[in-house]
Amino acid sequence: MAGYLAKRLLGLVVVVIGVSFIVRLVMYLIPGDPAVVLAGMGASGEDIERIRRQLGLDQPFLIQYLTWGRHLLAGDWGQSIVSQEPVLPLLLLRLRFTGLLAIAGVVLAVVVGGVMGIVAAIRRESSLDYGTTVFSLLGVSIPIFWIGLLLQLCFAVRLGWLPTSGAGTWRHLILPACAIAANSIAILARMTRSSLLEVLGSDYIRTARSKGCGELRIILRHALSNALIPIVTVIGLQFGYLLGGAVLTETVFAWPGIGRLLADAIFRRDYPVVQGAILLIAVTFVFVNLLTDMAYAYFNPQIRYR
Amino acid sequence: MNARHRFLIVLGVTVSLILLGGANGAFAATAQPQRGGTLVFALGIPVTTTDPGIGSGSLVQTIRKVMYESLVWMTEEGEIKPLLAVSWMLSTDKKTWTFKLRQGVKFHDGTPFNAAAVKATFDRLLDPAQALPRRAEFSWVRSVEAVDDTTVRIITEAPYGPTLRTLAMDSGSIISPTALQKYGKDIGWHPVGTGPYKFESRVPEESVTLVRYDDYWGGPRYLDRIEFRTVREDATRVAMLEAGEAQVVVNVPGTEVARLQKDPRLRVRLDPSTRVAHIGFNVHRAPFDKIKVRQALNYAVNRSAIVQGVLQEIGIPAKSILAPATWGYHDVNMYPYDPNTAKRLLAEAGYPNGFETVLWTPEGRYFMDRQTAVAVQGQFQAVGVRTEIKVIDWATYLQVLRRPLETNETPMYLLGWESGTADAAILLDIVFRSEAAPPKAWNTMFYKNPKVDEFIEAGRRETDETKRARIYSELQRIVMSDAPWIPLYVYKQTTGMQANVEGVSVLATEVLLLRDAWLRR
Repeated sequence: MAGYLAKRLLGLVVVVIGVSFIVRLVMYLIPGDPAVVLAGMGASGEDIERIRRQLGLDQPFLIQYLTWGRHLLAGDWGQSIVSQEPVLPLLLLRLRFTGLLAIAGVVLAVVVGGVMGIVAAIRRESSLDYGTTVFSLLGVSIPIFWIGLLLQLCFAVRLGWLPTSGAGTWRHLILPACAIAANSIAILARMTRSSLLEVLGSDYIRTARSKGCGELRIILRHALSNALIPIVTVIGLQFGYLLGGAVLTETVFAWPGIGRLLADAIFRRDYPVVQGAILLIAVTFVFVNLLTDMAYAYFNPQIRYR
Repeated sequence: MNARHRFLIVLGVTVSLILLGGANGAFAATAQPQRGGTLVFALGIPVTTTDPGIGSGSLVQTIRKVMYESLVWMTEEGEIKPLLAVSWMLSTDKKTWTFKLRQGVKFHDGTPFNAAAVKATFDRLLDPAQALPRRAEFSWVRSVEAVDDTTVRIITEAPYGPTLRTLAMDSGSIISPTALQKYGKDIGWHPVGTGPYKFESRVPEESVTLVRYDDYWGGPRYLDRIEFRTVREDATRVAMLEAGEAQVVVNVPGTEVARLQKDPRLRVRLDPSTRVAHIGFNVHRAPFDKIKVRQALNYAVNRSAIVQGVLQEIGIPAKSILAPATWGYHDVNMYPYDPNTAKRLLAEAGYPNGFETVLWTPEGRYFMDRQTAVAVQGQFQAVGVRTEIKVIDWATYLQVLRRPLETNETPMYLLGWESGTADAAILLDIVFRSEAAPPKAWNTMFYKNPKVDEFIEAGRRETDETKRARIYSELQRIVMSDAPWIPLYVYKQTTGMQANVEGVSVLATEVLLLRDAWLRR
C-alpha cells in the first residue's frame, strides 16, 4: 500500500510539471499580450514595451517558465500581472469557496441522486422509474446557467426567499448548490439505477432472497455495497469536476470560486494567476482520484493496491 | 465670554458657512438629502486596483471618483467646475496654468491637502521609472510647481487645449503624499484621497466597500456606506435590482430595458456616452486603399435600421467620428443610407460586381458587437460585397489590431472608441494622427492625411474654445470624406436604479458620480 501511494505521489509530480508546462506553452503561443491589456487603450508603443520588460515578458519562453518554476519551488507563486495581488492567497481564498460549493453539490447529488436511483431500480418500469429517467434526461441536457437563472428568477426575484447571488451565509449557498448539483444528480441517479439493477440480477441476491432475507436488507446490505464501485467512480469524477470550478454557475451566482477567477485571468492573459489556478486544480483533481481509488479498496476488500 | 471669544465664534461660523455654501454651489442636490443607508452598486468587471495611475475601465473610475478628487471636475453636461482648485488662470503665453487651491481640506489619513500634495501626485505619475500606464495622458505636462502652500503651477510643453478636461479625469486624482511615501507601489489598495468616502475593505476581485468620511471638506455626505460588487452576468445584475439587493446596476441589457421601465419600484436611465461603434478599414489593403470603396460602404450601411433592430434603440446613429457628447463634435452627416450611390461608387472604383472580404469583430466586449457585424454583413451583401465575419477574443483582438503595417492582417474591423476626457483631442491623438499608426498607438487604419495631422496639432494647441471648435468641425469633415471609418452608432449607457436613489450623475465618459448620492426612505 505504501509503495503504491509513493508511486502515485511520484506520478503527481509528473502531472504537475506536465500540466504547468503545457499551460504556460499554450498561453505563450496564443496571441494576446497582457502588456497591451494592462496598458489600456491610450498607451503608446513605448509604454507597452516598458510594461512588457517590467513583467519579464520580453524573455524567451523557457527562461520565463524556469523562472516561474524556480520561484514556485521557493514557495513564491508570483503576483497577478493585473492587480499585483500575490497569487497564492488569492487562489486559496477562492479554493475555499469552490470547495464549499463542490462539497454541497456532491452531498446533494449523492443523497438525491442516490435515492432516486435506488427507488427507480426497485420500482423498475413503474411511473416512478420513468419519472426519474425523464428528470435525469433533463438534468443532463439543460444548460447549467439556464437552470441557475431559472432558480434565481423563481426563488430570489419572485418569491424573495433567498439572495440572488454572492456568498457569505448558508442561504447564499442553496441556489448555486442546487444548480451545480442538477447535472450530477441526473448522472448519479442513472448510474445507481443501472448498477443496482445489474447486481440485483446476480446469483447471490437470488440466494439471499431464497433464504428469506427482507427486501430492504437485500438492497442496502447486499446489493448496494457491491453496486457502489461504479457509483463511487462517478462521485469522484463529479467532485473533481466541481472542484475545477463550475465557471457558469459561479458566474450566474457571482460565487467567488476559482473557476471564474481562472476564466477572468485567461481573458486578461494574467499568466501567473492562470498557471497557479490550473496547478492547484490539477493537484486537487489528482488527489480526489487517489481518494476514489482508495475508496474502492474500502468498499471492495478484494481490490488491493501494490 | 469676552469680545475676542465672540469674534472667534462668529469667525468660525462664517468660515463654515462659506465652506458649506461652496459645497452646495459645487454639487447642487435635487431635494433635501436624507442621511443613512448603504448603496450597493453592481458592476460587471472586477476591480483590480484603485491606483489612479493604472487604467482599468471607466467603471473603476466610478469608485476612484468617490474616494479621490481632482483639481477640477466635469458635470453631466460636460462643464468644468472647481473641486480641489477654487480658481485658475492661464498665462499669456498659454503655457502656464496657475491654480489656487481649496483651503482646509484634509486627506483621509489627516495629511493636509496643499500644493506639495499636488506636486507629489503629478511627479509620481510623470516619473518614467514608475512606468504608470496612464502617464501618456499627461505627456503634455512639462512640470508641476508648488508656488506656495495654496498655489500650484502646471507648465505645459506647448499650449494644450484640453488641459482642464484631462485634469478632471480620475488619473488626475490627488493622492495623499504621506500615503504615497508609505505604500509606494501598493497605493492601489491603500487609497488615501480627499473624497467624501474612504476605503474600508475589499474582497479581491469581488467587492470594495467604502465608508463615509466625516471630515470631508464639503461637510459629511449622506450614505453610510457604498459597496461595489462585481457581478459578471448581466441577468444576475438585473435580478439583484429586481430583488432589491442592489441600488444601482450598470449595463442593463438593452433587451431588458423596456420591461424594467414598467416596474414602478425601479428607474432605468439612458444617458449618452462618447463611445462610437465603427468599422475601421486598413486603408493600405486593396480594395480599401480606394477612397471610393470606403465611401461606398459608408453609404451601404443603414445606421438607423441597425440602431432599431440590433441595438433596440440603446444608441443613436453616428454622423461623425465623434459622439455628440464629446466636446468638439460636429454633425457632418455625410452618408445617408443609399445603396444605389454605394453601387455606383463601387463600379467607379473598379468593382462593379463587388468583392469578397472579411470583417473582424470581438464578441461580448460591447453591447451587441457581433450582432452588429452580422447586420453590416447583410447590408454589404445588398451592394455586392460578400463579407465573412471573424470573431476574435478581446485580448487577442487588441494585439492583432496593433501589429505594424508589414505584419498587420486586418482588412476591416469593428471597434468602439470612447473619449475618457469627453474631449476630441485624446481620440484624435491616439487614433487619427498618422504618427499614431501601430505599433506606436491606435491608428489601426494606417490612415495618413497631412492636413488632418495639421488640424489635430492646431486643435491641441488652441486654448480658445470657439477657435478650437471651428478647427474640429473642419477636421471631422475631412476625415469623414476620406472615410477611414464607417461610424455606425453612438451607444447610450443603461443604468438601472431603485426608484429611491437620488443624486447620482452619469457622465458621458461612462463614469458615475456617486458623491452626492442618497437614499429616500
